[in-house]
Amino acid sequence: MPSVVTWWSVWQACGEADPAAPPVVAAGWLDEVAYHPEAFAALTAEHRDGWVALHDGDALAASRAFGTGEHVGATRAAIALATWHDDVATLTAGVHAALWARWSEEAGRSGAAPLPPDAAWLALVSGTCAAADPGPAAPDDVRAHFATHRTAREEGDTERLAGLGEAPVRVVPGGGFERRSWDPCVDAALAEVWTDRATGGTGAWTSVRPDPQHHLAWTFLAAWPTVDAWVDGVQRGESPGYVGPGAAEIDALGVTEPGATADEARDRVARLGAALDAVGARVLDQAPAEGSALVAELGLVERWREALALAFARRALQAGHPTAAAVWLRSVARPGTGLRPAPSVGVLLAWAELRTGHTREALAALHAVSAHQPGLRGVEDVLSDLVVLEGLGKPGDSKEDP
Amino acid sequence: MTFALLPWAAAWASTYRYAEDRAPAVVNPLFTTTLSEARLNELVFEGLFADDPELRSTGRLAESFELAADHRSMTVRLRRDVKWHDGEPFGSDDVVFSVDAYRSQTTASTEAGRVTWITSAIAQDPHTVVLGFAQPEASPQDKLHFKILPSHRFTSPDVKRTDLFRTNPIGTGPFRIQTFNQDNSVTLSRAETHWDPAKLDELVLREISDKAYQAKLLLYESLEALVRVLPRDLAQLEADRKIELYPYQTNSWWYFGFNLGNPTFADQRVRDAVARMVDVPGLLAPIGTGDRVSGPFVPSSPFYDHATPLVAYDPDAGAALLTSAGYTFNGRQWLGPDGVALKLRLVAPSNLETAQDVVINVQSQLQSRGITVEPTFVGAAEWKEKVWRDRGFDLVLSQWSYDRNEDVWEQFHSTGTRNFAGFSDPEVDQLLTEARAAMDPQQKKALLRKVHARVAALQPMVFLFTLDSYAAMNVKVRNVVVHPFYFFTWVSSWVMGTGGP
Repeated sequence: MPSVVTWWSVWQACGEADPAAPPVVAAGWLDEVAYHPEAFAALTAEHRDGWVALHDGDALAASRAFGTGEHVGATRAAIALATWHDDVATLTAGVHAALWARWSEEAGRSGAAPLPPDAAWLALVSGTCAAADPGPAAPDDVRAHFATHRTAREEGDTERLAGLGEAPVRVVPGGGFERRSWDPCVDAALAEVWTDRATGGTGAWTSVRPDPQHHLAWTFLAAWPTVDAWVDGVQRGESPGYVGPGAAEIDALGVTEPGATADEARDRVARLGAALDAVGARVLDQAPAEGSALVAELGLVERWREALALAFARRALQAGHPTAAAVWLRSVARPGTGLRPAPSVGVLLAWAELRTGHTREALAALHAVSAHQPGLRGVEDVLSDLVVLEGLGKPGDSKEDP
Repeated sequence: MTFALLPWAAAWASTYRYAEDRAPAVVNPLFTTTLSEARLNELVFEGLFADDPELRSTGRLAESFELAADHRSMTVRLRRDVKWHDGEPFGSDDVVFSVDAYRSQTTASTEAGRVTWITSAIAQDPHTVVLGFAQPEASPQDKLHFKILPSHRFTSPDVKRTDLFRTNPIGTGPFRIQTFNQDNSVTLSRAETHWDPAKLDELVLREISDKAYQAKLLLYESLEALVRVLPRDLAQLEADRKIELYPYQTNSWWYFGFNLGNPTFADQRVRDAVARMVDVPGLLAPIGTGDRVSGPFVPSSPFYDHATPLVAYDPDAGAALLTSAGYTFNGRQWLGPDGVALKLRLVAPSNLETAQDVVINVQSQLQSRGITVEPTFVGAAEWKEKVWRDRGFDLVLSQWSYDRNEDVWEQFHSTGTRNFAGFSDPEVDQLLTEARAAMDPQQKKALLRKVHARVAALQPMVFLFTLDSYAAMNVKVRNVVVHPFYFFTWVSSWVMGTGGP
């Protein structure tokens, strides 16, 4: 069987239209690929590596491949990166808030460890990432770090910002061990920079106006099936990670909102899954052979399922329903398939688990994606502190199994 | 379907059947050593406190409590609406008895570590108990999750493993044991007098050792749940819309444990040699997917020392180690300094397909390197005797599962109650003691990472791998929240629906 990359090459070379393509495009970009494979060939004739990277869930590689020009792909990569860093920033803020709240509570108890020396500036910074200012009382090296952070953010220097997140701000001896402190605002800054790049510096998603002439470029692999769905979503005030649900095409799949409970979410996941399976079957049955093969080989139904699950999960988290969000996220975790889910699946699942008190499970979810994401080292380290803090003084249980 | 059929359907619909690889050997919380026993205990017995769905300790048999100002004692007021499954009232005498039974040296409970911090338990009145502590305790309720036993069913807190209680156990939990069946299954029925009655009428634990058969039974709706799904079956189950997967990660790792009381394995060169002759990925591949582990924590653990390398598969290096330990290779077998061939009596769980696969593979691997492996597959009850009590093995194949606290004291401290391998190292003892006392999370992490590295260096076991772990359940079971370790903690709220959206 040809590899995914081979298929990219095949379809880049193809380029011939099937004049018998059906008029109905009910599943947006997915139908466009299936029934108009020539459109896909045209799309990937340029910046092929960028589209391959976007398909692989590597938005940073996609951004590098697309370059910094006016190409739609560059904007799509910037949207994906803004969304990714926003997901990580949300988790990071939540982890820091939970750690300092818990540690402050513990520190008041007899025999408990006092807050670490860096707690004051860490709590200050993590609460106000927009300022990224640790305050005058912070040590000199910390203030120097955040001066660099602010400069990199103002200059839009994403590589420098990312580097600041991959190593601790400082490492100090803690009495037989090293105490590491991490910058809690790197991803918030990166989200801001990538948003600026995608929106032309306005920061407003409504200013991103897709050209319908490049419909597939603006929609391919996204949760929003059409450019109209994008426009409607951002006009409702939604960030890109939330756009898609609410579109007519998604409503037609039978799911309009994520549900509030785990059971409600399970029902919706099942309903959406069945509807998407039907879309896949229809494509297989009706689309030109080239198009249906493309959809199958690139796993595009699964990609759309994942993008939609992420969007519904973000909506559930925003609405205060983390157990429902966890169901959506687990539905695309793909256990046993050997496929790696999008990194946001692990990050958002960690956030959902944390919000339900399942801190150790949150750490496991994050660990599942951190090996490939060096920017997650800091939040994973801090989350592991929280796991240990919550377990202090508690006896563990262990059993043979079997 | 006609309306006339509905009562019949409803009667069936409220029986929840789940599969275990092995039926519990003992239903007595004092002697619980396996997760399948712990899961069953969760249905039948209760503690003073238990986790709520957000994993905070909440009162179960305890109605309220007051902690003394010096945190050295607490007064626990017990629920008054609790009865044992035989109808007798539950009270403070049961709590006092249970603490004494866990603590009794004659009982030799495998769970004794759960009460070592309690210095006294006094029944102030039938529904009030005062517990005294060895040290000030900030949150004693977090430690009071151990199961309470019925004092009226025992003559003394010195309880024997063979006590008749094992044949007719009763608890205060939401389900009572109705019958132990000929096929090793266990039928439980709802405890009607429970203060928070379960919604399910009946549960049936079925022992099914064949994982492929388990999956088939779930797909054919002859079971409602599997507590452990093999990674290789996940895709098939996930594709079936009648099935819901639930992550059930219990921080588990597989290992071959040496009997360190055997002089042959007291020599670390021999242990290291065996470890280097085992191709761990080759053992994992046939049974599923997971991560290799270098020591006694899983890779996602805060305590896993990522600087500790995995033992490399290097049979030649293993051979060199055996030579340095005084062994000679005669072209077919390794002979010890006494001229006797190196043989490993490997004890493994019987009727467990995955364990059999691993044993057959390791037997083949070591045999090809001149080490004879003589496997013995034993049942659950025999395992407790042969491995835990008699230490009649050279090597065991097993898996440890840990709750979220990942406390390895009982396995690796020289006084640990689950240290049947006889591991003893003063440095590890010291590190574990310091880690237990540490109140700074970063300090505790550092100490236990040292434990990981030190234990890995001493190689008391061949550390193998984790297995990706999920439970699977029919979607008709609703309102399900699975406890990450005990599984059934919140079973009372589970209901049987009609099946899917």
